[in-house]
Amino acid sequence: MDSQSTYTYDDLPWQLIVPALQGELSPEESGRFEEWLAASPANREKYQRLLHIWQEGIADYTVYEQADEKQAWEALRGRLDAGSATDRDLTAPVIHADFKKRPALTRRWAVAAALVLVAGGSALWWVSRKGEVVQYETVMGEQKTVALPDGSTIVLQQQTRLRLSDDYNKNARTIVLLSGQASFDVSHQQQRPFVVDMDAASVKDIGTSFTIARTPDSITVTVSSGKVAFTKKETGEVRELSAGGEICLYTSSAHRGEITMTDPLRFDNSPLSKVIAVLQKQYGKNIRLGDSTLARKRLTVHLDGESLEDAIKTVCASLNLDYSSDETGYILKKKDDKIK
Amino acid sequence: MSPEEDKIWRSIQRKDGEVFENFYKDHYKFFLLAACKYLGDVPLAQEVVNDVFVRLWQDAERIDIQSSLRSYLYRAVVNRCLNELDKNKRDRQHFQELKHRPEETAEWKEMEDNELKIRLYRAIDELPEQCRKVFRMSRFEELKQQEIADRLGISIKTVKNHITHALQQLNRVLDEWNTLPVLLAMIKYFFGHH
Repeated sequence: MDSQSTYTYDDLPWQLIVPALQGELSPEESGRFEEWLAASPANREKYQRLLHIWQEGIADYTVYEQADEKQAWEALRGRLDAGSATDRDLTAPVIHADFKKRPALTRRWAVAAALVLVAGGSALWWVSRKGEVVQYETVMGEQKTVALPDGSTIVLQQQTRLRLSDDYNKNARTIVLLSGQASFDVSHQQQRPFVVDMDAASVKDIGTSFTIARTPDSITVTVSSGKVAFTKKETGEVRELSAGGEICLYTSSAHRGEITMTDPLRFDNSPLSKVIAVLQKQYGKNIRLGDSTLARKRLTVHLDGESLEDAIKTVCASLNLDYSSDETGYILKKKDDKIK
Repeated sequence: MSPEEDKIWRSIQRKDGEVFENFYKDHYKFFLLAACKYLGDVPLAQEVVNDVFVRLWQDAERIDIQSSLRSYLYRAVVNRCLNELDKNKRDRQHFQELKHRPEETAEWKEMEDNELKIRLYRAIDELPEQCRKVFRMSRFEELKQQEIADRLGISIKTVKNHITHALQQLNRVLDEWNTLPVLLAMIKYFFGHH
């Protein structure tokens, strides 16, 4: 390869080619660049090639960059596993043995057994190469609570399958939700984020309990306390969702990739009473009205990402109110009765 | 089929999960990009690629591959993509353009282009971190040199150097690709990889 790469790059006027590709040639550079192009067909051909690479040749690099063969493999393996779930009554947790640790002869028998399973119309079982894979599964009508080693709990609703990552609780805490619905009560650890992976999207907790329902064509996340970060993998788009919020990502059919989101802290022409009720629930502080007639005033505001104090200020500003605070919480009142 | 590929294929037929996994992981991006070109939809492209590999694994004993494993899979991916487009007809114009499967020679060319692309992308991946970052910003975020310099707090001269270096690497890949006869390139691919 080295004999191939002895071309002298100095032959090419990169100081002109680079700005030319980027469309950033100064008038003076432009003149020199034209001269270079005119000098020989080889120069023009070279530039054409580079331009093609720059414009089209590498256009989908971001797809390549974001593509994750490990995640894709997990999805593939999930599908191979899914085949095996239909015919056999699996009780959770299913712990798959490691072929690699067995002597060669046993291994051959194991392979043969797998083949028999395949041939028999049932599917194969799959084995982790690194060690044991822990998978939990519920059948129709069954509900199961799983306590994890880090103190987090998962409640699996019926017909749900999920799997813990090989290194769960060592380096990371990743759970793959293959199908169904599960609620997560997460013991928050700053250094080991808790992530639920679902191929098209992932959810990362920020000190939380939440529920995810995964169907063949959608992923719905509902947050009951705390906050989660929802990532749509296709685009890398991240949305934060706080208690009371729900987000839904469509993963098939005409609406694929579409996200609908209800955020409890976004209000559209809502009565002040409702805004206050939500704020109280969110922040656990008491908020009162100096005058009960204020409760019917309506407002449209987005309060997500604000502190309680800022949220109160925003509400007051949009309704032309005043507020005061004491150790019990906040009081909102009309501007003119502040002398009282 | 090259001897190396033949060995892989035999192992997959014998249900060697490890060989299958490694082969999949080595080629996933190659087939994903190929499928994306037809479908313009990453998750769907992944589904298609996985469909093809699920079938390969499950039906391995019954599949008779005449050409090479890679071109067999490439063709299977293209077929699945065309079916998918046919099924959904969701992008009619796109569909019209791609309705007919490519001629065999064109398919070979497509596969080759895809291979060159993978090589270019690997070269981008191998750039030094800061260089890659600058190159990304310039090409994919379409930022001007000055904007990149401002964002990263580096001089415009450094920005130019990074982009130049990146393009030189791509140019090197391109030159190597064009110097090698196609057949040799494919053989090199099979042998160089495993």
